[in-house]
Amino acid sequence: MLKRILLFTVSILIFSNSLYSQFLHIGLKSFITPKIFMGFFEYDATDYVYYFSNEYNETIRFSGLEESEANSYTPFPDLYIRYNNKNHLFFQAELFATWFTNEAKYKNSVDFPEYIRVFNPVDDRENLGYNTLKMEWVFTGNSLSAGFLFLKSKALRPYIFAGGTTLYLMKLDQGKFYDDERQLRNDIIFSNLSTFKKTTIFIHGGLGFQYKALSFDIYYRNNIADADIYANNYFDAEDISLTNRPNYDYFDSINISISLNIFSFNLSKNHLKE
Amino acid sequence: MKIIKHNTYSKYLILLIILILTISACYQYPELDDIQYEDYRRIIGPEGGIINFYKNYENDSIKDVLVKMEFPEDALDDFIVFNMYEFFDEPTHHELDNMSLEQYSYFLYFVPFYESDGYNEHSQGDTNQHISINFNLPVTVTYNFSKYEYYVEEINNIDIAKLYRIKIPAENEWEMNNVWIRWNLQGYPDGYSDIDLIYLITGKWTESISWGTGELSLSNWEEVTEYTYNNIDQTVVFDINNTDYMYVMAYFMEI
Repeated sequence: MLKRILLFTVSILIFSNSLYSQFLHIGLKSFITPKIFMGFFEYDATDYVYYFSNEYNETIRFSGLEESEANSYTPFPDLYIRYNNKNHLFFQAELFATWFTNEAKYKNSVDFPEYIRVFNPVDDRENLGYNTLKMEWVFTGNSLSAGFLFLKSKALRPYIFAGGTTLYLMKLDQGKFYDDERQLRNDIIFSNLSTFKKTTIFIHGGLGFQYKALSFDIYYRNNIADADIYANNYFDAEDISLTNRPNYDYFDSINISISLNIFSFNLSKNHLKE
Repeated sequence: MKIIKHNTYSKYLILLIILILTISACYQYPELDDIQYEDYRRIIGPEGGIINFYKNYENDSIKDVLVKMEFPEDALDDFIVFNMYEFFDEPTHHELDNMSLEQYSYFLYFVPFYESDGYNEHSQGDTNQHISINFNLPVTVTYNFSKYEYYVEEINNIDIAKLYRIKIPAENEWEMNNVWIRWNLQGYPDGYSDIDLIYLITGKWTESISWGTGELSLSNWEEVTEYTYNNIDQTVVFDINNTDYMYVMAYFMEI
C-alpha cells in the first residue's frame, strides 16, 4: 500500500503543472543510527526455556528476553526525491539500506569455567554463545515524509517533518564466529529468534535545518504494526512455550542524517515560459 | 548544485525504485535441515517420545548419543524435565576394586523436575531433596556405557558384567537425612551430593544404617534381572519405573 502511495504522490508532484514555485530535488543522504531499541516480549520464568539434552543438562533461559540495545555509526546510503512547494512545504520519498548487529541475551545454567573447558579448551574463541547470541540484521527501506521549512528569507532554515517508513528484512544471521563449535545448539536458538516480519511499517518524525542544498536532521522511527510474525500468539495462544513463540515487541531507532541535493529541477520555470 | 531543466530522468528513477522494492521482498527465513529442538530437548510430557542425551565434544555438531530414554504415551502425567548424570569418583572406584568389584560404567542416574515448578534458580545455600516420580508405564533406557573412560578393552570379562542398581532414597523415605540436590554457581541443579552418592555406593549409608556410619559393603547393590546387553556397540537396554535408582555395569569377581 505504501508503495502505491509513494508512486502516486511522486507522479502527481512531477507531472503537475498548475503550481507556482516548485522544485524537485534528487539527492543523496547518509544517516547513522546512534540508538536502536529492539524490545522483546516478556515471558514467565518457564515460558522461554531451552532444556538441551547434552552432558551438562544445559538450560538456556531468556527470562522474557532482555531488551537488546544497539547502535550503528555506519553511514548508511539513502537516495531521495524531494519536492518543494512555495518554499515552505516539502514532500520527500526515500530509498535506503541499513544494517547493524545486536545481541539476544539469556542465562546459561552451566558454570562458565565448565562451559569453556568443554567447548573452548585452548581459549581461542569468543564465548561461543554462552549467554548471548549475536544477530546481524540487514534491511532496505523506503519512506515518505512531509515537512515544513521555516524562515523563508534566511539561508539557514529549520524544518520539521513526519511520515511513514517501510522496512524490508533482507538478511538476519547469527554472528560468524558461532559457525562451528556450537552450531547445533546455536542454530536451534537462532531459528526460534527468526520471527521478525519481512515487512514492517513505521512512522517517523524529526527536525533539522537546511542550508542551501545541504540538510541535517534528527528523527525518531517507531513501528506502528506488529514486528513479529507470531505477535498475535503472545496475547491469544494458551501455550506458546514450545512453538511459534513471538520475540520482537518493538523496533525503534534514533537516526541522524545529512543530505545533499545533487540534481534540482525547477518545475515552475517551464510553466512560466508558457 | 546543478540545475537541470528537464525531468526525464525522474521517470527512470521511479522505475528503478519500484524494481528495487520488488527485489527487496526476497528474504527467506532460515530453516534447520539437520536437527530440531524436539530432537535435542530433555523435557517430555504425556504424549511420550524420546530423549537423547548427547555427549559433549568441542564441536557439538557430532551427534553421539550417550543415553536414550523412550517414553510411551501416558507414561507421564505432566511435563517433566530430566537431567542425566554420570557419576564417577576415583577413590570409590578403587574401594570397589578392593571389594572384588570391577566397575565398567559410570553410575547413571536421572534427576527429574516438574516443568511447572519452574526449574528455578537457587542459591548454593539452598537444599532440595530427591523428588521421586513414578511412571505410569515403564520407560526404556539405552545406555551406551562404552564411553566410560576407565573401561579397559583388554579385559575380556566385560561380556559377563552385569547391570546393577542402587537405591536413591527420596524425601523421608529412609530417615530425615536424604539425598540432596547440589546447585552450581549459576543456581541450577548439578546432580546429587557426591558424598551422598558415595555413601550409597559403598554401603556407608543404608536403609538400616545412619548416614555415613556403616562399613564398606555392597548391601545397597541390587542386580537387575531384566535387561539386554549389546556387545557390538556396548549398550545396555533396560526399563525403569521411576528415577529412584542409579545404574552401573559391573562385574563381581567371586573369590
